[in-house]
Amino acid sequence: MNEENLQGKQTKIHVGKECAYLAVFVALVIAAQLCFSAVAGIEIVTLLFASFAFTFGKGRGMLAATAFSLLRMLVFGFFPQTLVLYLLYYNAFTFLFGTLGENMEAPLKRLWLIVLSACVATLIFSVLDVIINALWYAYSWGAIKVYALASLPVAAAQTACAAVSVGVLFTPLYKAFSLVKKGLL
Amino acid sequence: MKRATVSIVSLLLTLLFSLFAFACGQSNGQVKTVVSVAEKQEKLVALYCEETGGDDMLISAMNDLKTDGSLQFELVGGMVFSIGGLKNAADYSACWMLYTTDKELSNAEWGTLEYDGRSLGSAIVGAESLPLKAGEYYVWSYQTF
Repeated sequence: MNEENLQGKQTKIHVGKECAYLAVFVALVIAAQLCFSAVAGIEIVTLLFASFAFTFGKGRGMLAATAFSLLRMLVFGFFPQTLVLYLLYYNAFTFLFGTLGENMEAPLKRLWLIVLSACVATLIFSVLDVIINALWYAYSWGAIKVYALASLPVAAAQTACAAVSVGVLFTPLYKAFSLVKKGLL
Repeated sequence: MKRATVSIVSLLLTLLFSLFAFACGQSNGQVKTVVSVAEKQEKLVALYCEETGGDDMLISAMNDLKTDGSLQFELVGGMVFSIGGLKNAADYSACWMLYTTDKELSNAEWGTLEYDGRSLGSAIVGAESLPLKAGEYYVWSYQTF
């Protein structure tokens, strides 16, 4: 695999190095999710995937999202509807942020757009969760309403968490990942 | 301009007081929610909803029972943390689980409980969000995983 480095010269990407970087990142995300799993609505998975996909592109982002969705089952258990939710959502999420990263000039000057995208995506996650669970368990309309209403406080907390975490930590993480990316080339 | 401002403020105040009057009016002639403790053991508490007055959640009935001394429980972070002094384990290896006979708002795939010849499914939401229905049982069971 080749990629242009900063001088515009083609360099060979070491597949083994790519796999190692991806593996470390996925392990980091699973550990981060486990750390905050006891507190409803608090998570930094959104921040990590946003900054990773933004820096490394949608290809690597989606690979990491798929690996994360599958491997996290070893820690959190196998629930088919959760697997479907994570595969759909995080692949779309990393595609979005990878695309943003590839097309946004001076990204740190448009942090507001990155934060807004993260917040909207987090809300979409909650909606998808309700839809997938409702379809999976064939909930009645009454049950869907109850389940959706019960999800609102957690969705609000998650969105606020995404806004704060991405707003504060995206910039340093982006810089850190950019340094790491140079090591790949 | 001044007339328009006065009209808008008057309209808003009228709407506000109308809402207030409507809210007060709701409490007149409404059926009261009646929930009783059907059974209480160290690791099982069964509540029975005899009638409901509207969109009351289980937690409000539990709070009423707590006020009259029929039930002792603690909430932490919106979750029932202890009932009758028996607390959830710190790692949730043992905790209070909520089951109900309400088929619409329970999920048998998440877990079932046999109580008094009835099969209860795991409630799909917590006590704070679970609406009461007349004739249904709500059973807290302390389980180890």
